[in-house]
Amino acid sequence: MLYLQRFRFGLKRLFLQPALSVPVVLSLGLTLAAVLTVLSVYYTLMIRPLPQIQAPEQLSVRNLKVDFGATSVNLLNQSIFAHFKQHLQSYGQWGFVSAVTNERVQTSQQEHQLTRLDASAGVPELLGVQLLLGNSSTAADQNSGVWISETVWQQLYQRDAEVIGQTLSYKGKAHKIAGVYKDVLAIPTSPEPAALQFWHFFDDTKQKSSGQVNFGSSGVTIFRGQKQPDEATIQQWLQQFLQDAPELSKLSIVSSQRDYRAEILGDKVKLIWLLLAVTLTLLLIAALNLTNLLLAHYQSRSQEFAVQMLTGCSVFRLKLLVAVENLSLVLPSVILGVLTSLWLVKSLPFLAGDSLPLLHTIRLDAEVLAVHCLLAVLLLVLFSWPLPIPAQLASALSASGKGQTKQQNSVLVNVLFISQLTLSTIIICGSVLLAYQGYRHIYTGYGFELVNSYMIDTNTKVDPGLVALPPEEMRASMLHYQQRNELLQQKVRQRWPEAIVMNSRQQPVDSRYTIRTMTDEQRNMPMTFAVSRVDSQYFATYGIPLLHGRTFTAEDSEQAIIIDLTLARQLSAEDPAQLIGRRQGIEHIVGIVAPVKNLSGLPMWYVNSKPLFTERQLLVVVLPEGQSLTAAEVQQTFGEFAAEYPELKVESMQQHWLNTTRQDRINFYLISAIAATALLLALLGIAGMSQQQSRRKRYEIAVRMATGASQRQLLWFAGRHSGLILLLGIMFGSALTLLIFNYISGYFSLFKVMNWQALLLLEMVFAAVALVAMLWPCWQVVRHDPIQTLRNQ
Amino acid sequence: MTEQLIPLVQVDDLHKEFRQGNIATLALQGISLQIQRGDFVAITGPSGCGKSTLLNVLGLLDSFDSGSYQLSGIDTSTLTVDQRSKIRNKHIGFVFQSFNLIDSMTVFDNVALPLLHRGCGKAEVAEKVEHALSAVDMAHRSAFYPNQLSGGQQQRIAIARALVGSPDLLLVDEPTGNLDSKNGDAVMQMLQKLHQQGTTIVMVTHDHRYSRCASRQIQLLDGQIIASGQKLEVA
Ligand SMILES: Nc1ncnc2c1ncn2[C@@H]1O[C@H](COP(=O)(O)OP(=O)(O)O)[C@@H](O)[C@H]1O
Ligand SMILES: [Mg+2]
Repeated sequence: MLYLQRFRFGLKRLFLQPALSVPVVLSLGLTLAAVLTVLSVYYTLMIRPLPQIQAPEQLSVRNLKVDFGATSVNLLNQSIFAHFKQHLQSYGQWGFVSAVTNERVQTSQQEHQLTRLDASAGVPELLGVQLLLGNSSTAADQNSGVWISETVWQQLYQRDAEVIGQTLSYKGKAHKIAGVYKDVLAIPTSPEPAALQFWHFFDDTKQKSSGQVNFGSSGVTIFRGQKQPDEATIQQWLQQFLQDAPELSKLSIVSSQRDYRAEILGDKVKLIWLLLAVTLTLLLIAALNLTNLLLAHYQSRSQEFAVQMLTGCSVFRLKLLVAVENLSLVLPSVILGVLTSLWLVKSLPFLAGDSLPLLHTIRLDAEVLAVHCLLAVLLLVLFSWPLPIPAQLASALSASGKGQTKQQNSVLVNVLFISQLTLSTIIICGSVLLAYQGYRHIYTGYGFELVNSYMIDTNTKVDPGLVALPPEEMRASMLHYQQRNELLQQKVRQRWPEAIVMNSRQQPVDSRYTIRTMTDEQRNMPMTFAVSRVDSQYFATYGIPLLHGRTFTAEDSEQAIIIDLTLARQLSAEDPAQLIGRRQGIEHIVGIVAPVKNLSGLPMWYVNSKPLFTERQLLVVVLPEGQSLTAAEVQQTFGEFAAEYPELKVESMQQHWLNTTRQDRINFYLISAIAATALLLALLGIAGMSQQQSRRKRYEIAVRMATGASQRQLLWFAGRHSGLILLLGIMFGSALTLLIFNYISGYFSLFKVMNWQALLLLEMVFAAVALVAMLWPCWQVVRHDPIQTLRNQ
Repeated sequence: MTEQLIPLVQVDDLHKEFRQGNIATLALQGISLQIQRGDFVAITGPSGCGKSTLLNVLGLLDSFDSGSYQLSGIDTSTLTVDQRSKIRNKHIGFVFQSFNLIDSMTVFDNVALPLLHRGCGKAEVAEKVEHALSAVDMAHRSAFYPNQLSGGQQQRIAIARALVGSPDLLLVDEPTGNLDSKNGDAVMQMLQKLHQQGTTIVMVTHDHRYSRCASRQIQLLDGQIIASGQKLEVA
């Protein structure tokens, strides 16, 4: 009965004392939401069984990577895998799978974009994916058929039971549907598969028998069995394999194995831990703040608690009653937290993009909600336990009102406040530094300018027959395509007379490179670099400075190359300028340009681009600011040729930049949001603390004012205590920030570029802002005629 | 029958001092006192002589430095906070000069507090609270909040709260101090009636009109008893 009464009282307080309830519910609800969301991510990725994967403890992944220093490339592809599997079959089951997203697929009615899983036969069975319809992939004749996922079956075929035998075409070829598997998302391919997926299987008993050995693919090699072959066995196989492929033997090949789940998570584990730590710290900051706020609230009610004790309430029961009251604050916060977190989890695919695996399987599990409830109970205890119990009931009950200037629990209040400030300082400094780094990474230091340029890609498949043509026919065909290219260029120039039209096959933001390795003969050193085919106008157009030599001219053959300064330094550390004119293999260097940031992280090697002698035409068009072009417009411009290029694509540099920096930008916003939240929480706490202090001293301030103290003296009197605590907290925080960052920079490359001056500056700025937040409530009390207080007494 | 022999309150050589920095106030200096069941004791003395302090010690609201205090034969010096609460709940009712009602609760809830802390059922609480409120003539105000009532009415609510648990000992600290004489008289009449019904009352007052109503008077000065005597029955 009493508990119910207290709960009702709490609910009333929720509405009647917004100064208490709004900060509590908001800051608690939002931080709880953040914790809950990260917990859901944690639970899904680290603990919950991987959906559709059976006995994952027997699964692992074998990585064989060709190491190029800045990047590495998978050694295994489908045919090398076949070789690999044949030799290591006795150890267990092996499977090879790669994913292609957004494969355009035609059914009888419509076109769709699906994920294509290219796998060795038997991979679904190896993983334990349930077969819903049709034959398993290990049955005969997998080559011609495809297997669709349940979602495809549902969305494209409305769960038609007769789906087997219907056709699905992609890349201009029709395939019979041979079966339906459950969706499987937990595959460590890159890119990650979507639920709209279909399988195509290759025959892993067939090896490429002759000719040049290609390597490299995005596939993963999966193993199921008790124990993978040891490194020595792998090396044995490698030796044997390289005998047939001597051109690969110079490469450095790194072999390793990894747990299946760990492979899916990759280095995201560290990120998740970091996020968990940050959100829990935010929650702690909020909780400490609120405990302080509540302590002040309790103090204003000490007479009431004394009366409860007077009439026979035990200490425990009193705390329980207060906890019931506070339930009315915690409960709405918990509900707000759950709702916000539901929304956050829903928008995770947007927020986290491709920075988290298994995104679409993340949800609020019962286990996570249970932890959430536990947190709520802990918060209730934290809020209710420090309830000040009047040591001397007599004085609490005889209080006439004015005597309440001395704060109870003052040690606790100060400790809470200092810990709050310390944590806030750490989070704020850390996140602001990260945000700044993110900003620099996204917006500066490219080495080229973002201009209004568009890549027109006719997107037609490279004609495979070309190389096999007899010489005369080949020459004729080359001439044909060259003329075609010139014609198209002309048409574009006519339509957009102010445009620069280039033959480049890249824009600087592109992620498509050819990686090439060659040995520098003079110093017998291997070099790896990214090859980019560009036009003579390329460097001037994108503002990439030419440092030595010249740019391409029309007379230059494809053997003329320009290298960037990074590569030049590798070739000649002392004097890059002397490299001009030097032969490098069959090519010769004509110029050296400044390095630009590119996705491969490798030095650049620019080749003078000639039109492709194929049907596929690539043009880069740079328009004056304010103009734009679309695929439809280009198609229209092409006139009589338009029909030959039905899949024509246009990609603007701006758009491409937005796409490639999307994840970084989202991270940047996220980190900024964390910084802002931490700052807000800290300032709320500081202002709240300062307000309590000055409110408590209001009576004394009034008396001092009545006896002639100046406002400045009063401000000093009102604020000096909070000011001291503030300084202590921020100093503690700064010291700890340095320590923690020193420690953490070993684990996160993001923190490596830590800069002491920046950190100090930041801390000073934070201290200044905090000081303002502290003085503001004091000023309110001093300014608002305190004599009024005396009169009201 | 030992119950009858043990005095309700047995105080011997009680000392208490308040310290504030270097300044020590000797509030009680060797008080010895016995109160029997059914007594109506009035404690008088000038302001600051230690009356309230003595009453607070008797009501287990305050501790003492030396001496002993036995309540119904129980040694109170070793009691924990919760044990004190329990004894207050069962055996002691307290009325203050400043009422000490909880403003956020209704009159009914205020009066019900001792019963609720005792764990009484809903029906029992309702019945006893009604009874206590009618005893102080306030039954019609049970849904009001304290700040909607006059001082005299609030004091009557406070008395109802003190009585509702049928305590053995009623401690009253200047019950008329904040009231005008009409309201004061009414409160005094009420206390007298309670005394006649058998309640043991210890009342602090500096109003001699009221102290004469008591069956026994104790005079304090500077924390010491300077006079203690039975009231002469005036025929
Ligand atoms: N909480 C306290 N702290 C310090 N001194 C106190 C406190 N309570 C009472 N005193 C002092 O003890 C003495 C007795 O006070 P009190 O019992 O309230 O007197 P009375 O009720 O007789 O007026 C006074 O001198 C008073 O100043
Ligand atoms: Mg007094």
